[in-house]
Amino acid sequence: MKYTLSVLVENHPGVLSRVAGLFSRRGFNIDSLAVGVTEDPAISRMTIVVNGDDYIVEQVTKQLNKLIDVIKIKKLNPKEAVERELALIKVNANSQTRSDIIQITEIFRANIVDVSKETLTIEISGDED
Amino acid sequence: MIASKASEELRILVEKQKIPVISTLMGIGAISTNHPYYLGMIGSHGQREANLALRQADLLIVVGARLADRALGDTKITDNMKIIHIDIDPAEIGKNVDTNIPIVGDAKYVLSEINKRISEREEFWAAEIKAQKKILPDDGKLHPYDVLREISTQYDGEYIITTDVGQHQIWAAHHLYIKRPGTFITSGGLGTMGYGVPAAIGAKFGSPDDEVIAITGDGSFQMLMQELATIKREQVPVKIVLFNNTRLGMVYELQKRRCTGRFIATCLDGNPDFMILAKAYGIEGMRLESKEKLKEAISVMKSYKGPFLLEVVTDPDEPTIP
Amino acid sequence: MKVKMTVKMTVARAMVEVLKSEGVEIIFGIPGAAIYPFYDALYSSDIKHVLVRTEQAAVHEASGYARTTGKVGVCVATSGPGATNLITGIATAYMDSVPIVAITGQVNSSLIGKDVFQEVDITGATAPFTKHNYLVKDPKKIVRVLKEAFYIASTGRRGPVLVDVPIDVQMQEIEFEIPREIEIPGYKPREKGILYK
Repeated sequence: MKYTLSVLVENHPGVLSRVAGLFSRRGFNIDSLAVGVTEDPAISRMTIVVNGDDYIVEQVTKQLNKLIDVIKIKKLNPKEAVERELALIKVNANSQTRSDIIQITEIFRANIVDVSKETLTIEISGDED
Repeated sequence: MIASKASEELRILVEKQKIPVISTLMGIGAISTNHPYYLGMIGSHGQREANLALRQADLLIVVGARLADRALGDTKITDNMKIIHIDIDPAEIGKNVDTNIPIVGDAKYVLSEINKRISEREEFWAAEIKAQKKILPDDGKLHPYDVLREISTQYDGEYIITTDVGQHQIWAAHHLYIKRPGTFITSGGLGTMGYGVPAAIGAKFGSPDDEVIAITGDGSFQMLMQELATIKREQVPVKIVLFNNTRLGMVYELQKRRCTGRFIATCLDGNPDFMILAKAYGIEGMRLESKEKLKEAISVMKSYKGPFLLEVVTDPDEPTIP
Repeated sequence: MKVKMTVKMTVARAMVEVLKSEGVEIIFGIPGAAIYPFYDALYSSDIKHVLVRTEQAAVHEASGYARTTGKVGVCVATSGPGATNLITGIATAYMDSVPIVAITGQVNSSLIGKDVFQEVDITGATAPFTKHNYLVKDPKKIVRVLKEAFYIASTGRRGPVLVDVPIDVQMQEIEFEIPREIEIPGYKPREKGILYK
């Protein structure tokens, strides 16, 4: 089962390495990890998707809390949280296929964000499927 | 629990409710080993009575123990056993055993709060188990437990013990009289060979008025024996009891049992003459080889005012648990 | 009118002053090139230094001391091999929850990461078995860092904390001031019992 954790950490060098190290040595599986600074430059937010059962998630949360740099952990409830995946796809598009691609893009409500002589870059976001 | 200085609260609790006390390697000394309710150390290298009580209990109150692999050994926590786990580290609760009542906090505080709310109980249910304690044979041979018991008797528990890692560590855990909490200092978590002598040096600096005795084996001792130089330089009056069986004892025993005696790399035949080694560092020493000289040897060690190395020659086939 | 009383001194001397303010009476260690300014500051202090024969023993001795006194044990080593020799001792203290502060010297901060003489990433190496560790790059932070180290080591579940100080940082001059309180947003050890779930 997948769980998403939203973790507030101090924005110090090496924090990401500590968190990654913790996961690897305790044998937890990370599906994905995204980190960026919050509106407070001293604090960053890590969004981690963990794969495991209740026991694993409880241990992950408790062990993460032991890290001095970790300030707060929130387990996101899949029923209450909004989850989105975003993909940027670069496709070959010559003069013959270009209009077809643009049509498909419109049908799926994706956006074309870049154009060049040979390619088109399409941005699409949605639920996991 | 010992770090929290909660021994008094523990004693009040167990005496009021007549609860038998079992301990992990790191918990030895939390209650005096002479206490009538103390059954001993549990685990894969524990004492029979302690493990028996563990299996028969229907409520287990865990105070500050991690209950990792060696503490539980073969014991399976069944559904009949309810567990209250008190620990200062929330991550330890639920990590190795499922808990019915988890409590996060400082042991001293939690136990004193519990004590305010409990009543008296009449019976000590583990009396029969305690009575079954095995009597050790007196066959005229010098066994390590004879030495440890003689030390316990002559010092009456007035010492700080440090140990190294191996068979001698378990003998010390089983047979030494530990009167006060914090006087049994051993590397239980990581099991680091070499810990004993430097820990004894540090302990002596910390408690200069206490007798400090390092219990070690020839394998462990040689890992950090250069610290004899620190003992010489600082003139630290620690006593070192070195059980010499010219083996890496624990592993040798393992190879005897699991590898049907295919011994490899466990024979320490390059050992120096430890008496000459001690003398080289200006440290007084004595070698003990027979049971008749035991009382005298301990007495000499006890009365000597300065660093002392007592080498005890033991049988390589002496088992960890008789 | 309140006048702020601060004294100007080197980071090395400030480190010794913090140790004194924490009630440290004895430290165990072996000197080396990267930690010589600290040792020089130690020379003029009352703190007893026990010279050991290998750094691993320094941690074990600090551990035996900590376990009998209840105080934080302090050990010192130089950079590179001195620091790596501490590792077994630190891991031992971590597994047995013993309060230790380990101070290591580090090469010049401009040379970190360039594989110079006696250089090693000790904070990276000890991350799995220290309660926390610090690499002090800003000389002005040394006092707070050391104070935090003692606080973390001696509270909650006790454990070892490592403080790595580059040699150029040790020689910098700072205004010495002891912070009135230590506030770490990510660390709030719980002493009173709560029913946890």
